[in-house]
Amino acid sequence: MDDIGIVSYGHTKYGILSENTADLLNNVISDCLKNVDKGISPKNIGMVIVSCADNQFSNQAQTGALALRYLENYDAEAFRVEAACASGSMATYLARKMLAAEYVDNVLVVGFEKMSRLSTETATSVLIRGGSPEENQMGITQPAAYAMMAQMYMNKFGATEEDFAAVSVKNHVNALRNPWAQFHRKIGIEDVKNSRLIASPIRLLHCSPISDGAAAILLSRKPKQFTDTPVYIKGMGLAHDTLGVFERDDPTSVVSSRKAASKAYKEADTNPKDIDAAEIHDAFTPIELMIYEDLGFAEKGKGINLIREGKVNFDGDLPINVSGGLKGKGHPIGATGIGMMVEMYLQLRGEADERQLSNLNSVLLENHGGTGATSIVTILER
Amino acid sequence: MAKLISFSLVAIVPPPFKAEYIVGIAEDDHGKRIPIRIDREHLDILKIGLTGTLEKKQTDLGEFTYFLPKIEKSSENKVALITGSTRGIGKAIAIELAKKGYDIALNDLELPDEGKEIIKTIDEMGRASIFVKANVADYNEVEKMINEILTKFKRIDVLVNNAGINIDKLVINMSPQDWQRVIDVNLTGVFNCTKAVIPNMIKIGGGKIINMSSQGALNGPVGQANYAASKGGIVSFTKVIAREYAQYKILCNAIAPGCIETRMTDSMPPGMLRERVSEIPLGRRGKPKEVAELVTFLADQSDYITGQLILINAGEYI
Repeated sequence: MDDIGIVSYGHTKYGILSENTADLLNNVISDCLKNVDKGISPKNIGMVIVSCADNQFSNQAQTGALALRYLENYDAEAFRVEAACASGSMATYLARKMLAAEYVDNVLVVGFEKMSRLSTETATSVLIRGGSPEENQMGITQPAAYAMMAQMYMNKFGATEEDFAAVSVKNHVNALRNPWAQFHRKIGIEDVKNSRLIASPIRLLHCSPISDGAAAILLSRKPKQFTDTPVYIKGMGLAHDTLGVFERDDPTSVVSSRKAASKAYKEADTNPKDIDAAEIHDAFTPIELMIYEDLGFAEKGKGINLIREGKVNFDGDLPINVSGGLKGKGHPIGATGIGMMVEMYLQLRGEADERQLSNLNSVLLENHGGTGATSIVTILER
Repeated sequence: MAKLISFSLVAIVPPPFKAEYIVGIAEDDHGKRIPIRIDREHLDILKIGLTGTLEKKQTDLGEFTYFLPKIEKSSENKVALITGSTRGIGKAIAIELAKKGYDIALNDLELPDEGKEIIKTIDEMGRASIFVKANVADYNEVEKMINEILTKFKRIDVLVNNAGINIDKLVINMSPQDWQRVIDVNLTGVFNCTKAVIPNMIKIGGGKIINMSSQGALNGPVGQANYAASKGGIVSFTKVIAREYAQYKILCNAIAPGCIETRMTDSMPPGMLRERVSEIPLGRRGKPKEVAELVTFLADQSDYITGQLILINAGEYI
């Protein structure tokens, strides 16, 4: 599997977009085909895996077949996968397995979501489906589930409102350098603390937004055929946990991400110390601190030190979410995991323009669904 | 004994839920964790590790398990604030609510001898009372009044916006000051008092707001443009408050009395009063106590009426 690499990408702007679902798919697939350094015929793409979290957002089923329309190759096989917010990485995970099995040579992975069709309240009721049936019945929304985790993290480890706000502030600063980001607005700690309450202690400016957007990557088991500078997927771990936060022994940790990271490090034969930068699933910014710990970047309860000491800033030792993260860049659910791949593909190829990091060898992506019932951690290298 | 593991006040709620609610995780006697709801009135005392009991409740939206925190029983009594309550309808409302067991906060621009008698009467009923001098048209004075009442009683369960004045003139003779003065007291006063009590009502888990409108809001009484406009404004204001704060179990209604035995109708020329009474099917003026009994019903016994204008007029306006 060491040879499987990313050879191209497509990425729309994230935000409240005028494009509909079909436009988003069309644009991102066209761009992905155009961006192949050495070119590719659609006939050489034997499979498309589409990621979208919920049809109620897109108002479209059979999105796999719809993607084939824009690929202009109805001989390819097409699937759609769903794992809530982890859908994008799930699609990539499956594509990699298909390539490893030598079922096909090249797979196009496409993710999208068209969330702005729905009101905030309706979107909340769609997103609650990512939790357990018991949480759903009780009205435990996704922000409420994360809020309960944050409440416990504050109680157990002394994290403060300021720590949570600092993550939002950092990710908004990073988003200023990303032309695809939904927000190009600098915010301060007080802005976050004074923003509208969503589910205590989570406020509006801790939350990733409702977004439209799409992203695509082309994976190949013979990447050098298409580019001299592919980005290799060196390790990828998939792990699960309970859907409900109430079912967990320790809700201050995303156990699935911890396990997925362990698998990814093992496969890539690396460790947290050798990771140069990471994109983390900051759907609600308090979770970013807990994930630092689950990925091994900090000891349990010490994640707060990374944000307090600025180590995870753009110019820190371990830049995290230089794209702006879900908070600043946006979170079109089905696209998110693939958008993370695109960000690190560009970073490793030195094509990230204003937000380009230096001295990158090994980078990590963490993308989880719901509050962590599914988590996928990916390690990329040049 | 159950233990609270975590909790969150959910402010953005998905359908079918309408109101903010508290969710949480509790551990039962056997160490099993379950998702729970908690009544909003307990918000201020919630903390991880709190002990309590679990109780299943059937609602129209399904069965919910509630965590009931173990707390010392509060000795606080229910409290009603009636503005403009030293005489007339306001005084009758204060006495009726005291009979129902409420502690009473009285308010007016001054405390006449008649008002001192009410304090004595309430005292004899075994209920506590406080008189706070305040002009409801002035928000700063209202805020001070509410703070003074909360310092003494800790809560306000019922607000009766009763204070009102009239300066009757044909519009052609009505000065802008005549117009503004009535609007300030009758309408802005209702806004001021309502705005100032809502945070406490949210905190204590609900409340009742009863606004005194008037039949004049409906039938266009000649010479009362300012008064009728203020009382009509109260009706619209009532409907908005009912919708905005239903989620906090704050119910808001308006009452439109017809011809009641008050200083306002006492001062009518005898011929005019006789003519007006002749148009009332029941053939008499209403008594302040009868209005007070309706207010008391809305304040104390009704949990399913909100946003309504209720007429009490012996059929004078149908």
